[in-house]
Amino acid sequence: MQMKIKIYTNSDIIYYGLKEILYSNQFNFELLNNIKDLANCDDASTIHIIDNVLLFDTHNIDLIKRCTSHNIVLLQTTYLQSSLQNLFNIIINLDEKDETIKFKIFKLFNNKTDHQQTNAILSEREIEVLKLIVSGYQNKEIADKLNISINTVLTHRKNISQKTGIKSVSGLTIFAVLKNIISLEETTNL
Amino acid sequence: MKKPIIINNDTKLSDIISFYPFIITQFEHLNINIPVEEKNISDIAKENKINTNFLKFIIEYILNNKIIEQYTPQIDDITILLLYLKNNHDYFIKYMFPHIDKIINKTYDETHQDEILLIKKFFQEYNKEVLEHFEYENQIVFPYITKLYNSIDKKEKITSDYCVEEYKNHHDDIEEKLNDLKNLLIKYLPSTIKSDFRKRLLFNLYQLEKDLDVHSYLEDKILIPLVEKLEAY
Repeated sequence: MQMKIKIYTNSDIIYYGLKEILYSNQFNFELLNNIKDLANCDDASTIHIIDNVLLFDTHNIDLIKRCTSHNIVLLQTTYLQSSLQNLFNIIINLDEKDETIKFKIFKLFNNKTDHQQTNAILSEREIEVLKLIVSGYQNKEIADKLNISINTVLTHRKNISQKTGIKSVSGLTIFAVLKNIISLEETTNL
Repeated sequence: MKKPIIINNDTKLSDIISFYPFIITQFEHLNINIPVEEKNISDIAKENKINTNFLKFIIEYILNNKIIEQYTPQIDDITILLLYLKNNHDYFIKYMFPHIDKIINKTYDETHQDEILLIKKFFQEYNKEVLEHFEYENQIVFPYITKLYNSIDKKEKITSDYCVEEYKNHHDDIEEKLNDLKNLLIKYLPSTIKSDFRKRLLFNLYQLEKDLDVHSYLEDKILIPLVEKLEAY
């Protein structure tokens, strides 16, 4: 899937620098000087990186407050008060290493797309069953919890393995963590 | 394009290795000396006291996944089969598993990425299970087969509570987990992981898988039927 990265800044150094660091064929880059365009685009496949110099204008801060569903990254070029930092999904600092910046943005990108893709791979019900499997529940317990027959549980298990290509419980646990279905701390089967 | 290689008594081992270098590992399990100079299949079979048809069979199986009809397993092949399987265990235990473990650990130490930690834990668990299986074969199955095989010469009947039936289907789990690991690497491990980790691990797992596949085939399809024949004597 193609992902759009919109960079809001007045500095060519910042725009071309970020583009160089993040360069990947999965991304499309766009340079914008005006934050007003933010409101027109609430597409989940777009990441907005905003130079905080643009935030000196309080109208812009109000605008960001309204765009809660956006993936907004703050590029901290000067100090920004901490109450405002909470408005952003992640913050990049100007003195960070290229690997770290890449890692942060890619992670945001993976989180967004993975969730959509898992939903495409597995049905809601299968995700529920998967959660219970990797939490260590046996077939009988899963059947009781979800109020379905053991046979239905077995069919779900078979379909989950067929769709993901993963059969063992420990393998499915890793799958579930990678797809943000459960957190690393919740894993009991590893 | 590489020309397919035809396997007969005159085929040189050097041509086979050049065609598919990974096969060196299996040749080592048979105690075949490398370098192979100009030796062909029948030279090597004679030198290592291996049934020529068995040698051709195993090469065909590795190169082309083909089962040749010329080869009918003989009771006396048990010696070479046991040698192969024991050497193979040694190779797994002393080299292959520690080597893969090292790749994973080194990457984790460098990056401390959660994704690598998950793979590390999965492989450690897998490693443990496989070693337990090998241990079981080394301690119980192989000594039993050796005893049974030796008793044929002495024309004596051995008594044992154990029979080879118990040992069938032990390999399914091992292959299943390996396949899971491959799928996780190929389909799901995100692009944020250290760049050559996926590739290096996959190439090594490919070798491991190939070696395990030959191993399971020799045990399940050749050794076990032979031992069942012996048990029926």
